[in-house]
Amino acid sequence: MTRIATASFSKLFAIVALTPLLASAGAAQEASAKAPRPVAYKVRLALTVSGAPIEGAVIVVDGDKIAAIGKASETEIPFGADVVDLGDVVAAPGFVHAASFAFTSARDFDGRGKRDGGERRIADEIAPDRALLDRLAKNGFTTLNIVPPDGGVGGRGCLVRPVPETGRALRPEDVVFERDSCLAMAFAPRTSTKKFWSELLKKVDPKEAEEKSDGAPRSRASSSRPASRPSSGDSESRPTSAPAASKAADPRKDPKLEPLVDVLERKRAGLLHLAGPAALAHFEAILKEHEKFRPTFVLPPDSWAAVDLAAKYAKSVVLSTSASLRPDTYVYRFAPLEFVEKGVAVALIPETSAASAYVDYPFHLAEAARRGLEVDDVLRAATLTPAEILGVSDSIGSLDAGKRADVVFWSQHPLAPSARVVRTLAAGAVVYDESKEP
Amino acid sequence: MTTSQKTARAWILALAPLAFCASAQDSRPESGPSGEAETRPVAESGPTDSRDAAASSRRSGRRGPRPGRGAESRAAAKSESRPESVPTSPFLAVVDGVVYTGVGATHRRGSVLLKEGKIVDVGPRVSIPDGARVIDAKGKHVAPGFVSVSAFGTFSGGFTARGEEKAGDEFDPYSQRMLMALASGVTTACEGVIQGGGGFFGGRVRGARGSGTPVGQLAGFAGKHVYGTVEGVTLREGVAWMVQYSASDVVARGQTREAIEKAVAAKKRRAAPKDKDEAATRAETIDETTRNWLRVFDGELPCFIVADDAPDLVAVADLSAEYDLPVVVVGGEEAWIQPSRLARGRLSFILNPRRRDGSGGFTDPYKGEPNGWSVRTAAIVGEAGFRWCVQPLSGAVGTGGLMGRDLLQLNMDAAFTVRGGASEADALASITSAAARILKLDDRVGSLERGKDGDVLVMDLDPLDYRSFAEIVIVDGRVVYEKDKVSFFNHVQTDRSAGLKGRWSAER
Repeated sequence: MTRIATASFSKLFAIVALTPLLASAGAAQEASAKAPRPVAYKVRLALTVSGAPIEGAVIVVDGDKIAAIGKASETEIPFGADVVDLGDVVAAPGFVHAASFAFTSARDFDGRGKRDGGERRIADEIAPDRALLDRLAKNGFTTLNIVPPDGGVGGRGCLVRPVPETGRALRPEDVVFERDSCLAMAFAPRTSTKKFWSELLKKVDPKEAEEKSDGAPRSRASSSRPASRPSSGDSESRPTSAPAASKAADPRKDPKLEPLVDVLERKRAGLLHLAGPAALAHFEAILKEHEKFRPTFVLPPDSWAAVDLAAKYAKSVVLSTSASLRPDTYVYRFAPLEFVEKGVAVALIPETSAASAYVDYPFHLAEAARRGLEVDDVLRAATLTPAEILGVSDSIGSLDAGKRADVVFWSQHPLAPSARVVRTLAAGAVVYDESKEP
Repeated sequence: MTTSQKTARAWILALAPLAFCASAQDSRPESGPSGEAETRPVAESGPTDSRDAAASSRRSGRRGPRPGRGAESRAAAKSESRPESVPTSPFLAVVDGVVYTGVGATHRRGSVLLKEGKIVDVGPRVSIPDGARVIDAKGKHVAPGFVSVSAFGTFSGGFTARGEEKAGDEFDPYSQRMLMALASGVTTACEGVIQGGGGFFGGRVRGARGSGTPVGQLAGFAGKHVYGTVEGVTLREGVAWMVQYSASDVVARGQTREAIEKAVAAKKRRAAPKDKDEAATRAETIDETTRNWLRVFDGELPCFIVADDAPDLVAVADLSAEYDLPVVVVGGEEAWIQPSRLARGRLSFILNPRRRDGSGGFTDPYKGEPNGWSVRTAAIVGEAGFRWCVQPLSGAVGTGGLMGRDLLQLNMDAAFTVRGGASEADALASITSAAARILKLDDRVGSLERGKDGDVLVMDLDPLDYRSFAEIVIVDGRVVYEKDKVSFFNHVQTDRSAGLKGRWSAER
């Protein structure tokens, strides 16, 4: 995973670096393309998210990483660095979208399908679109986790980020910097989908299923195979000396099942889209059966109804910023608040994957704060929490030295009603600059 | 402490460990009687579900009061140390109410004892085990949960079960419609059998799988309104065997007879097989339709035939008599005309007491054209010895549509039959035990008897009183609805025990 990421990243960076950078602050950005010099951005306030906000901060960006961040008085600006004083701006980490259908052809996705696409990579299918990419950058997004919009096991998601103008049509490899970010799954309650999931997980997690279904009589003879699959003839003939090996090896050999095994072993992020609170209630039986299967739930706005149930099975969930109107009563409920109050970490995403949703996103985040979430929690829910869910919080999600330079400079605090994005850096490159806009 | 305060306190203590409807908690009445106001925060701070105790204790607490709920939240936080004293007995008792068993008997001061979702005892002399959670129903009326033969949308909005897909695998346990049905006392309902139940839908059967066929078609889903869980919802997938049969359609009648003849033949063969193997072989070769007809003959599955006109009713009665076939007549609008003629058949009736449109075609209700309707139909059908139950004009629940004649007021349809001469006991049975018997669900629901499911209503007045509301609804031994905590009816706060001289008149 890491190897792939690095490889594709360096390739991408080469493209970025070789491209004449959009000059953003006069001479500062017009550094030599071959050996970019460090840039020190001075801001009024840096919201690190991981720690306390820093007043009068300087952020040193070297290449694609944040080399240093701290108070201007305490941070050494390296020799030869360009200093860009942005004045009265607030720096914050770029937003991370935990589960987006952007650049895919998602229509009326409801999770009812029964696709078995463990080996599928959405990175090979996306159609990046310059207009949307620019819009993302303009609204503070620096990372999108694109997930396949299919029910059952949809496939592996990929991480995408805005890139500067390349002068030609965008290709997936221009924007994808992590081809294998998570396994995306979806469930809507049906007899057939329940059956699909229960059979699929028995293949991946046979031992538990067997222990649960019936105990004593079979345990000796068939410890290496699921009780409910009598047709696996080869394991019958196999010597009993290597039950453990066959247990682990079988699902791993199947490229469709392998990522699911990773999810069970917590080596890979698993996102499970649930069609509603009812879907969770129906899925509970499967979760009970497989104690290792604890994916992150992606839930619609009406999930407040199942908040207790969700809190039982998930440490973190992905929710949209929408409030849901309780039918017939005209009472609004705001799911993110109710989940946070139950101690569940919440990652916020825009209401839809439509381009317009990204434009309103900062506004909707502010609305989340108005509905009762702490301002700091809202910011974290849009940056570091999704990064943690995707297992990439060591490189993105907050403003810390050593992390990738995904920095958004806002005219005010990002949740202020009149806040504008002044400049966006994605992996150190300027992908949006207000002063260059027509 | 006044009696009402004591009562309120007793309720709260009893209910604290139970599962309240999660969704119900956002809406609080701004000023209830003082006793309730005092104790409500205690109840709300308790664990929402006793089974969740472990899970809720590991969850980190809230970091501050929610905005806009300051005083109340703080009160709740203060009393959070209470739950240690919460009893964990498996028993739940509803004590000292007027208990209607639904099968005739009424205990003026009786109790119902529930254990693990089932009724273990009911009557005037029930011994309540130590530690049992107790709901004091003094001055209240306790009835079995209502059973509705027609409902639309209480299990979910999009009800698409077909083929291998089962409704019990896709219903929504958090459906607001389900909660509204519970608010009306309906704890058991059939979806997809008779959706419209007359009126707007012309009284014709509309199933999720069509409206029945001459040879018969399995339709519907019978379930319980187990709000907030998916366990124990399904009573039966495929509620009724829907058959189209009318006096005028000769061809269809022939098809029906053919199908029945086949089943009768299969029944005879089944009764006298040469040996075991042959019995098994024959059972296998029986087709799906015949198998369902056999279930009808065996009394496992109700056979529904829509008939309103007198000629249709006579035709159905004759069919029933000819084959000794138990039939449930849906509609029965003109059954009052010749009850003795109909008595030949093994019939029972699903009536629409408050329907007055023309059967078989549209008639303008304002022109006074005769349309076969009689307020006495239920009474006459009952006198003739038929079992009958009622369905509302619309099986839907909601804040739109028919006011007062939909599933939200099922008990008013029952009460209306009393106006036509039916006894109150029969009227109550028509939405409880008789409905359960007609649907063949009476092994589980429909009455307050030992061994039945713990579906209990605590109402402020007689269930047939037009002023009555369900105050507490228990399904499978779980409290799933409380009037004061859900915003549907909690704004209706009158002193019910004072009748019409309650708060409203006092204020004037």
